[in-house]
Amino acid sequence: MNDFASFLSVPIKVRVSSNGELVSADPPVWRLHALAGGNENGPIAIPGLAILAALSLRTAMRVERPVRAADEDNDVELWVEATPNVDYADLLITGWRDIVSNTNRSERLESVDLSVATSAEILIDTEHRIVRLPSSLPHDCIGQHFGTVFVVQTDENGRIPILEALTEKLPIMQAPVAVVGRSAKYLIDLTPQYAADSRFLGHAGVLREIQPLPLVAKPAAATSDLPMSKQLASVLKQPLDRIVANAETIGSLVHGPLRDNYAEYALDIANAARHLTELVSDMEDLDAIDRPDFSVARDRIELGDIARRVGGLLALKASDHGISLVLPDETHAVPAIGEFRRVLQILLNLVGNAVRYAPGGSTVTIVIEKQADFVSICVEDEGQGVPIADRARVFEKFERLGRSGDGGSGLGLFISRKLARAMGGDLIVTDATAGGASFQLTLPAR
Amino acid sequence: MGSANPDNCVAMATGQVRAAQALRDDLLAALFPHSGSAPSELLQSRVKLKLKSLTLGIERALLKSGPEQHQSWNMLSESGLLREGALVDFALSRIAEDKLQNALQSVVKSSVLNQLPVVLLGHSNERLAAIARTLLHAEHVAATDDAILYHRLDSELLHLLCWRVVAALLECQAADADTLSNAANALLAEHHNDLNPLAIARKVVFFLGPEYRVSMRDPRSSGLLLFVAWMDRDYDLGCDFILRLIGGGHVAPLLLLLKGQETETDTALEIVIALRSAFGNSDMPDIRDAYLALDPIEARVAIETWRENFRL
Repeated sequence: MNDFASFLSVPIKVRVSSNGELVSADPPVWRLHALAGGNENGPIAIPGLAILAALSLRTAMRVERPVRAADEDNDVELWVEATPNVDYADLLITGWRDIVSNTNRSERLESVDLSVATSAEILIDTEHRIVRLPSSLPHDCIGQHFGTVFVVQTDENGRIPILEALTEKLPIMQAPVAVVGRSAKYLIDLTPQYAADSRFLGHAGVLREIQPLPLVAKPAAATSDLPMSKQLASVLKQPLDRIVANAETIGSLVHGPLRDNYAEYALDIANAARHLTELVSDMEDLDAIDRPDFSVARDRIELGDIARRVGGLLALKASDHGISLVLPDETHAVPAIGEFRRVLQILLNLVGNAVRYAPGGSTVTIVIEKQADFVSICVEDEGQGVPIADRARVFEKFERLGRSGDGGSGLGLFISRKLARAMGGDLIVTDATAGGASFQLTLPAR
Repeated sequence: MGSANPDNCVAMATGQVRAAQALRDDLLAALFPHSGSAPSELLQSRVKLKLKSLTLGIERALLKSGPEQHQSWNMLSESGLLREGALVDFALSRIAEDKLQNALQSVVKSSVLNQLPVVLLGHSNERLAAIARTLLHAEHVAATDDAILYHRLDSELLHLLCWRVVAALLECQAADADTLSNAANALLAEHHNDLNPLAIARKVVFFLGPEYRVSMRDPRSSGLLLFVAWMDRDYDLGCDFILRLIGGGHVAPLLLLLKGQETETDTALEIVIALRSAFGNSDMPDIRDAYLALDPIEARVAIETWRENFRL
C-alpha cells in the first residue's frame, strides 16, 4: 500500500518553457530530472510534468492534478498546479508522496515476469529501470533508471522519443543510444511486454553495438552478404513502426478529443502500416528460410503454454470479430522439441488466419495431443474449410485462393510449413470435426 | 429560387448534407448500439439535458447578462459538434453521480454530518481543513446550480467546448468576435478546480493520512465523492469511469471493486444497498453468494484488465 502525502511547507517551484525545456527548478525536482536522464537547459525529462506544462500552455488554463515520477528506488507522486504564461508554464508542487512498493527493489526486479522474452538482452521494468543488460556492460547499471545509464537523443522539437515511447508503452526500433562514460554507440530495439492477463510488464529487446567505420574500405562482399530483403527490412521497419506508433497514439485520443472519423482514419493508417510491416517481416523470413545456412534451435518447449500465449495475444482481435477462442486448459501440458519463437510464429499465423476468415459468432479451437514420438497441435475453425483440390496449393508462395483486400500476403502458410519442416515436423490441412478447416502442426516429442 | 441569395443556398445545402450524415449516424447508433442495448428515451433525455446545461452555462458566462433563450444549442447539436464521446461520457457520469447521491442521501440522512468531509473541517492541519471546506462548498454549489456544470469538465474538454460554443455564437451573430474571444479567454483563465467537487475530492484523498483509510472505503462514512476518489487512487480507473461502473447496469462491477479492496462481506452488502436502492433484501442472498465466491486477487486482476483495455 502506498504511503500518504504530506503538504510541503515551502512549495517547490518549476518553470518549463513553451518548447518543453526546464528553465528553472528547485533542487528536489532537479534531482528527479537528472535521475531521469535530463540535463541542464535540456527538455524536462519527467514526462508527467512535461505533459502538464504543455497542457496548461496549450489551453491557456490553470491545471491542477497529481503527477507520478520515478525516483531512485520508488516512485513519487506530486500534487502539481500549473499556471500558463506567455512563454513558459509555472508549476507549483504543493504535495509530495513517496510510493513504497510492497517489495524492495531487488525483489521487484526478480519478480518482473518477462519470461516471454527469454532471448532478450535488455529488459526494462514498468518504472524504466534496467533489469537485465548484456554482460559486456557494467553490472551496477542494473536497477538504475534508463535515462541515467544511456545517453539518448532529442528530436528536432527537443523531445526525447525513447523516454516518451517507454512511458507510452510503445515499441522502439533501432534507436541510437550511447552508454554514459563509454565511447561506443549502440542501436536499441525494445518491444512492450504483456502478461497473459494483459498486465504491462515492461520492455524487452536487444542492444547492438555500432561498429565504427574502418579506415580502409571494406570488401564489397561484407555488406552484400546480407540479403536484399534483410537490408530492406532494416531500412523499412523503423519508419513503419513509427507510423504505427504515431497513428495509434492519435487514434487512441491520448492527446485529447478528436473527431470520430479522424480517429478512425488514424487507426486505418496504423492498420495499413502494420500490414506493410508484416509483409516486410514475411519477405525477411522468406529469404532466411531459403538460405543454405538457415537453422532452427532445438528448444525444450511446451505446446499448451504456447497455445495459451497465442490465445492471449489474439484474444482482442478474436473478440473484435465475434469469435470465441477455445484453448487447452492449464493442466494440459505437451512437451515438444522446437524453436520457441518459430512455433509461436506458426501458431500466430494459423490462429490469425482462422480469426480472419471464420464467420462471426463461430469458435476457433486449439487442440494439442501427444502421440508416439511426435506431438500435434491443431487449429480448427468453423469456416468454409479448404477443398481437397486446394490443400497442396494453399501452402504455395503468394497463394491466396482467390482472396484479396483482407490484409494477407499469401506468404504466411508457405513460411509456416517451411519452418515446421525445418524443425523436423510438418504442417498439413484437413477437415475439422465441426466442418471448417483444421491446420495440424506436428513436431518431435520430448 | 431564381432570386435566392446564392450564399444562403450554399449554407442551406451544406446544412442539409450535414443533417443527412447525422441522420445516418443516429440511425446506425439506434439500430446497432455498441453497448448491446439501445439507450432508453429517459436516458437520452437526461443526457441531452446535461449537455444543454453545459452549453447554456458556458453561453451565459460568455455573453454575461445574456438572454434566457439558448442560442447556440441548435447549431451545436445539428452540426454534430456535441457528438464528442468524452462529452457524452461526462453527461453519463453526472447522471450516475446524481443517482448514487440520491440513493446514498436517502440512507445516511442526517448522519451526513458525521461524514468525513465534515469531520475534516476540524482537522488540526489547517490546509487539509481548508480543502475539506472547499469540497463541501463545491458539492453544495454543484448540487444547487446547474449553470456552472461546465466547471466540472476537465481542462481539455472545457477548452474544446468553450471554443465550440464561441464558434456557434459567432455563427448566430450573438456577439462580435472580439467580445466573445475575450470572454472565452477570461473564462478559461479563471477556471480552477475549486468548483469541481471530484477534483477536490481527489486532492483530499491525496493528502489524507492512513487513519482515514477505513472511513474512505465506505461511502456511508466518507460520502460518495471521497469514496470514488479513493477507489480511483487505488485502481487508477478515473473517477468518472468508476461512477459509471457503479451507478448503472449490473451490480457485479461494484462487487469486484469492493472485493479487490477486501471489504468485509457484511459491509460490502450494506454498501450495495446504500448505493443501489433498487436492490432489496430479497436480492441479498444471491448477491452475498456472488460476493463470497469472488477472490480478491482475481478481482484485482480483472480490474487491472479493465484499466488496460476499457478506460478511455
